[in-house]
Amino acid sequence: MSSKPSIPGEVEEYVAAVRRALTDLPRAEQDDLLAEVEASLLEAAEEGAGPIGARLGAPEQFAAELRAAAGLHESAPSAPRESDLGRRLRATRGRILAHPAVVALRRLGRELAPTWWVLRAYLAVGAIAWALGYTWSLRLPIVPRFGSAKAGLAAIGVAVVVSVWLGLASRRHGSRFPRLAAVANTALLLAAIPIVAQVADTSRYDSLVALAYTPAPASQPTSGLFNDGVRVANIYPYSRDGRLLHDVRLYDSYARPIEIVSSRKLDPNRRVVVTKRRRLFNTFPIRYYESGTRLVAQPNAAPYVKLPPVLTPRLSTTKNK
Amino acid sequence: MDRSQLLRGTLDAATLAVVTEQDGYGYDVLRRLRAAGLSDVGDASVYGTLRRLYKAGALTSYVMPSDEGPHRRYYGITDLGRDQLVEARAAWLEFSRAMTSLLQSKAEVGL
Repeated sequence: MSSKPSIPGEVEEYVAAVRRALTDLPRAEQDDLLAEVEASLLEAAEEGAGPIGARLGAPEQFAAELRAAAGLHESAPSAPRESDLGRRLRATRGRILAHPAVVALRRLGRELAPTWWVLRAYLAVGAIAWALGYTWSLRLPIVPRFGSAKAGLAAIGVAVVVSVWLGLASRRHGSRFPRLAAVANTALLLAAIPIVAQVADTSRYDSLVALAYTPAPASQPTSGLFNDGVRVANIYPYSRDGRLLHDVRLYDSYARPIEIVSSRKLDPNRRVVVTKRRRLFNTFPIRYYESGTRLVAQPNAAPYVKLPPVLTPRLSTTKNK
Repeated sequence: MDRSQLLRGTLDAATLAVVTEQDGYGYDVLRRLRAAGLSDVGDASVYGTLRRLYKAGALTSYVMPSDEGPHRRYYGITDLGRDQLVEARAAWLEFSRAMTSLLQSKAEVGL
């Protein structure tokens, strides 16, 4: 035996490090390989072959060579000083990553990465809007309104530029914070869930959203026009002398047209009032054509309402009274 | 030329040859390979090769108690290993003759 007590300790340490790099192998295989290695290293050390590290190189490298020569498949290089579970996970990860299907998927993923860069930029903006309780444009339901939809679009544009720049930089030089990047990407992917829900919700808006400027309390319905808790399906305006009015255009206090049926879900038989430039959806009462015609059979149809005469004098609307 | 590349393809035959000569344990085989001139053969390569040849049935193994230190696992050649060695020897002789004549004629041209 050697007179230097440090040598067996050194061997032991080295063998342990080699074992750590082989943990994905069956236990018996590890034991057999390492028994051989340990006996040989001890003998070499006794012969005074010098410090093990200098002679044999890094334990991970030794393990890789051992593996290759023994015809055992390669695992992902394992970092020293990991927990047992970490090593096992890493070994499993290595096996999964080496699978041909996974390799093909990763190659595909690399090609599609720029798409992800754009998408994640949108998700980042959406996540911020969602977290801060901003509402989303009704005209462009995928755009969050930072004050206005235009500001939302600008924010998305800036985010795309930054994201693509980051993506290209990390592709060229390798990511400087790979773990942080992985966490951020995962978080953005998860953020897609509330954002998609939000976009779907916004697209579904039937009507005026009086809440476009303030977030709605969670329990309140957020879309449609409600009268005493019942969704309004049509509006029948009467003049003070009891005449049913037609094609009355309604606006709310934010100058937004009051629409109670989304233009996206338009009944093909709905009679749409048009101007030179656009179709109006805030005209009431809403009328429907007879199917396949351009004819409204009952233009004065209305729910039965009793209209007692109005006693309040007319509002004065002329300037110089 | 990278000698480790050359070694990779021929270490099986070299190991079989050494063990055929006389049974040996891991470090002993390594030492004999180096003594024979393969000075840069790697420790891990030899242990891995022994293990693979053993599992493939080309080598047999037995444990011998040792006076100093742990028990030693000795390897010996099997019939299968001997066949393999015969084949490897023929292949190598043919290959090395071809390479030798190729490289020598180049040398004579004046390279």
